[in-house]
Amino acid sequence: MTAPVLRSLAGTLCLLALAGCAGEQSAFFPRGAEAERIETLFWVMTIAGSVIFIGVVVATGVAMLGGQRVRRVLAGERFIAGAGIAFPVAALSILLVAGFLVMRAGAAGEDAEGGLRIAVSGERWWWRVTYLGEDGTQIESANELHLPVGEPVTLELTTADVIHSFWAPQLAGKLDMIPGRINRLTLTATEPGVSRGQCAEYCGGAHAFMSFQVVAQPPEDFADWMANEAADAPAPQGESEARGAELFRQAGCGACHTVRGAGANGRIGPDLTHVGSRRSLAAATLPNDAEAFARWITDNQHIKPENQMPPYTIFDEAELEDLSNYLESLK
Amino acid sequence: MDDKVVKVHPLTRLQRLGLAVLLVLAAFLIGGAIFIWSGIYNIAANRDHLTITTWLITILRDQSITGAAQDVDVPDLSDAGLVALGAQHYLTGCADCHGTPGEPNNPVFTSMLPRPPDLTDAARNYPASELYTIVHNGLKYSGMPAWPAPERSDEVWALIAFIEALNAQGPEFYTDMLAGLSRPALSKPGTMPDGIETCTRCHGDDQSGPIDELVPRLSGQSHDYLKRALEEYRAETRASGFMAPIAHGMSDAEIEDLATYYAALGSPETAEPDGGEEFEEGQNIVLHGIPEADVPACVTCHLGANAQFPRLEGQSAAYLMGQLQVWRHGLRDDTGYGAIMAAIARRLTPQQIEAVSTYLASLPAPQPVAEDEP
Repeated sequence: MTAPVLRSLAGTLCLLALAGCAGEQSAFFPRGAEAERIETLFWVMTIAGSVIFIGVVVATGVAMLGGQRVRRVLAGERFIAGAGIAFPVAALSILLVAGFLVMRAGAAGEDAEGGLRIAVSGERWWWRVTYLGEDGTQIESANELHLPVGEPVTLELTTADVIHSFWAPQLAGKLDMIPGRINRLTLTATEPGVSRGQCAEYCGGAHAFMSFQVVAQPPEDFADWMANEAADAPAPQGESEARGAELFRQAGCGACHTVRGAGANGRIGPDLTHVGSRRSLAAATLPNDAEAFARWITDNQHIKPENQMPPYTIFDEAELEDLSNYLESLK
Repeated sequence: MDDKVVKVHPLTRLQRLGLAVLLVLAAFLIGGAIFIWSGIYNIAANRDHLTITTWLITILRDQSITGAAQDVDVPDLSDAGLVALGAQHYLTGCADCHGTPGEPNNPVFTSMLPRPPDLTDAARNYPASELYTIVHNGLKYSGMPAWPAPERSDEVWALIAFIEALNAQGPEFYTDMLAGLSRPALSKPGTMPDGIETCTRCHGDDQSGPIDELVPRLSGQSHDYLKRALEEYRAETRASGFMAPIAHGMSDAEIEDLATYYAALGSPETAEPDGGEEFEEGQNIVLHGIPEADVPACVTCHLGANAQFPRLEGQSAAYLMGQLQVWRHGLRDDTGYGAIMAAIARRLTPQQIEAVSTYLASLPAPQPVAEDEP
């Protein structure tokens, strides 16, 4: 291949890489007040930095190739003092102040007093999400964060085991989850939509599979969702689902998982009360359907190695189908 | 090329010596090959070895055993239950070849070479660590098999305890013990399946508990669990040198009968609960698990909601601890149910294992679930 072909190929590949900046996990498409500020800051810094960089490159070119007169100016003491001392001090000061202003440094976080509080705990390798009501009620869910658009929400971030980092790029910057302490992050979703988040601190083998989804909804939709989430699990409807519910009880699933209203109140694994209504399984690793449930139950150690759930190969095909149908029906 | 050299220079002394050695070696090789292929050597068992062969083999064998036994730690072998368990396994796995101690052996086995020895004197000739090595590893070219479940080396010690007791107390000890332990299962004579004696002689029945605390109590377990356990032993997916030879030949019908029989059997009373710190820790784990260590509560599965899970109440602490250790060491995860418990057992510390076992052992053994009356 000739050099021009290689070059255009490399160029095309770079363009493909750029496509990675789009999508539901991109900080370039902010859907939250904090993420918007971060994006503004990014562009201010990038543009200012680029302009200065181009200036430096031009000055270097002129210094090497320009005429005697221009080169004498560039070598002069006044130019050195001006462009080498005064300009950096001014430019960096302006950018620093701009950064403070954009990010509202020092300002008390957006007033979420009395607003919604959500406790998010990192666990290897999933997210325990608990909606804390003002009256002390706690509605637990997992691996999915629902937010009312336009209302500031306080996240109380902690971890059950090792250090994780909560990062929902379309909503805000990342914040570490440290054992033994609670870090607070205030989010305000500015438009409805589903985006994706990811653990941003290496936390063990399956770290890359520790994702979640953020669902920003209009307040009335959020209220509807919350009401459903707070309710007990629906009773199994069909025959297969009823058999699945019985299997769930008999196989001891309730030792680790909670299904409110079905007598299962384990606190070790994710709450499954409304697992069928979530957008994904296994911390945004699998789609949410009966087939994925069956795969997870029998083969979870291959899907997410070393996760804490034992493999359940004790079910035959029919039982597995019943159990999966039951779980899928927990809307 | 060599020929040329030889012609030009006469050989030195060293070269002549080397050539001679090579010639002798070649003669041995060719002679040996002829000897092996000719079929002259008699390997028949009815001809004893040459004296020198016996002498060499004996040295080789004993040096090898001593070498392999170097790092073996011998546990306490004085427990009477352990000795009794060993005696019962001797009956299952050893007596066929080694015969009843102190009595003439079956001619079929005395015609073996080497002849399986009477084991009454074994403990005088070999220390416990070497006996363990022999029983666990077996002996090549002798007919002595290795332990059928090599990973369950813990089981071997019962047999060593028996062999030591046999040596200390003489051959009558074995026959007396078998006679004394014979347990006619009394409860349901009409429905007693064939071969139940093989089970009751270690596991007991509703009149008497298991022979040793390393042996689980079967009465009160569900039919489904007992059936599954026997099937797993038969398929060798659950490893046990004690149970593998017994389950090996069982037909589905026999397994069904035995499981049905034991499932209907009541349990003799077991120890009363004792308080104390360990007891409370164990109770807490059994009832509530250890959420921060991702250990679920034992009762969720083991309280009888599912007939496939064994009942643990009233099992001996030693048995429960032993099994949890087996799981921790990854020796019982070849089956679907075993794989579940394996993940959980690995999260328990040795101290928690002891606490859980102590607590469960103090609970009354389960009684059979009454059949639904129509």
